[in-house]
Amino acid sequence: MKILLGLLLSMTFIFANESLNSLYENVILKDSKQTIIDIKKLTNSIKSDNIETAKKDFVALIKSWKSVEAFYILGDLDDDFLDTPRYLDMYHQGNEDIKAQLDLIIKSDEDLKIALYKNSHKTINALEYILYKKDLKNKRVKDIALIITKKMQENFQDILDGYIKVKKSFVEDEPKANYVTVNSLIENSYKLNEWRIGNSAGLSKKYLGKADNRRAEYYISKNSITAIEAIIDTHLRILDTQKYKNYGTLARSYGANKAIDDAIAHLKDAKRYASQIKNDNFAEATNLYNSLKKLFYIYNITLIEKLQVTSKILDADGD
Amino acid sequence: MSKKLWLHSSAILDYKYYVLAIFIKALLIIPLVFSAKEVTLFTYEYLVENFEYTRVHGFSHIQVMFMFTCTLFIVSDFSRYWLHRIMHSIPILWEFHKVHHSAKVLTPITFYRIHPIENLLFGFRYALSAGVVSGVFIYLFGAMIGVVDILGVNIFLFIFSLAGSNLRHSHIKIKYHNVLENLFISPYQHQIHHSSKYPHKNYGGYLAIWDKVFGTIIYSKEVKTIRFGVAVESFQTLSNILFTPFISSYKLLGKYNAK
Repeated sequence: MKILLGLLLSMTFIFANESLNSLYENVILKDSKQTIIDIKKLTNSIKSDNIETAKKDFVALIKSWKSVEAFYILGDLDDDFLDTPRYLDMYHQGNEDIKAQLDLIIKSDEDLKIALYKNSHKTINALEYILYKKDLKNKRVKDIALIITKKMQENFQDILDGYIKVKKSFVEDEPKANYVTVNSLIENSYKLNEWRIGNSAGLSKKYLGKADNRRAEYYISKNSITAIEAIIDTHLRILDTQKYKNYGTLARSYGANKAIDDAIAHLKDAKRYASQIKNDNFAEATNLYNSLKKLFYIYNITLIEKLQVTSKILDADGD
Repeated sequence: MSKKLWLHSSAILDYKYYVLAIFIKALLIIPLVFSAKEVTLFTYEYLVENFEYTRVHGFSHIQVMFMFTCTLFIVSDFSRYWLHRIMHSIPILWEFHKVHHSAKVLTPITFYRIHPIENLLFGFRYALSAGVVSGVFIYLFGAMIGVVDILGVNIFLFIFSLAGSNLRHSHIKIKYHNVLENLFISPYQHQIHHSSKYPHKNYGGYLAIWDKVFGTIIYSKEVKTIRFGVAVESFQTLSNILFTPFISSYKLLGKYNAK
């Protein structure tokens, strides 16, 4: 009996380990590597003054970066990496007007290494402004773009190296992998819905009835919906049936079939609604918002049920 | 405990009521009480809607679990103290709580001699206290929360069981030192609560702090002998236990209305 139980426990452990390893390889590491490939391509396009290709490469970079950001768990696995995404992306962080600052830097003749001293000057948002609103044929603008891509590449490399370093602590510690993954999905689904959609569409509590497309994440390049689609795709790659095992496989092995099915259904609905929005017009985003709101709700319900905290509490019902 | 106590008519009534209560709880109480899960979700959604999403970093998993387990225990015990006290203080509720105090002998099964109305109130208390604490912790820490347990049992339950809490409803006199009785209710302190002389003292579940702070504490060394059961003779049968409190409270209401 003991041998059978031991065997069963080791099989469960191996299965969990396999799913987590596969998730790590096929989503986390794959996406992290892709950001480096994409930023290198973009750098080369800028260097060769190919502006149209650079813009296409920038769209590819948005997709890969949003995938990494959508499931960014490195900060939970190693505190040193908690702030790394802030060095790459300043969306919804503070009210800094980098456009005005970048304009001043372009006009001045100060050494760029000194002028671009802030992290925010070297983010994907700064790069978007430079690529879409400034003339890359201007040497100083081009130099700024290259400084930004260089710094971004360093940060992407840091993320990849960090993930490789802490892989064991995720794959071999199932309880930790569970709370880190679930927290990440919940946090990201909230930011996706409330920040990226609700605030622009005037559906969030903060901006209720005050839609404004300028609040969208990539308003300048009109790539906000592309970013949203990339995030939804990442959730699907984490949960939906793929050629590889993922978190959906693991959750199903613990009987969470309904929750996973519901989450996938809402993600697929959201993907369909997102594809119907033209020209990043968030006035058409009500269905998308509602669908993702349900996703956030499902993630939380599942979490509360999974934790089973309420059944382990002192159940005394009298005195 | 002697065979005489286990086979006392009061103890036998406890056993019968224990079986009946299982059906009452399943059919009447559980469907009526909203669950802690619903309160958790409501609390969580309220916090997210009104204070935006947040996540606290910098604590390890075990630290969060320990904070959660402690908070849950303290809040639960505090709410239990007050509901218990209210059951004693409001005459109509006391009619229902008398059922529990009517036992002439105490066995661990006496713990379940609780009128369904009291079960219902304790069910709401449990759902509210556990639900609010869980909702707040999930808001702050998400999936990091969990209960620290030993062999699948909540660590506090485990420790208090070792300290004899299951014998609070028995005739085994386990007393703690006075200093400790300021912090934790000893089994004997709870037995004093069941005495005919001091039923309105020592309301605490596990912690004695609440009794100390709110002036309802009495220490083991202050009471040498105990006679159990309040002076009520009308709880001799299962139907007495179930229906007498309704009749008594109806009469009480009549008296109030007449005044």
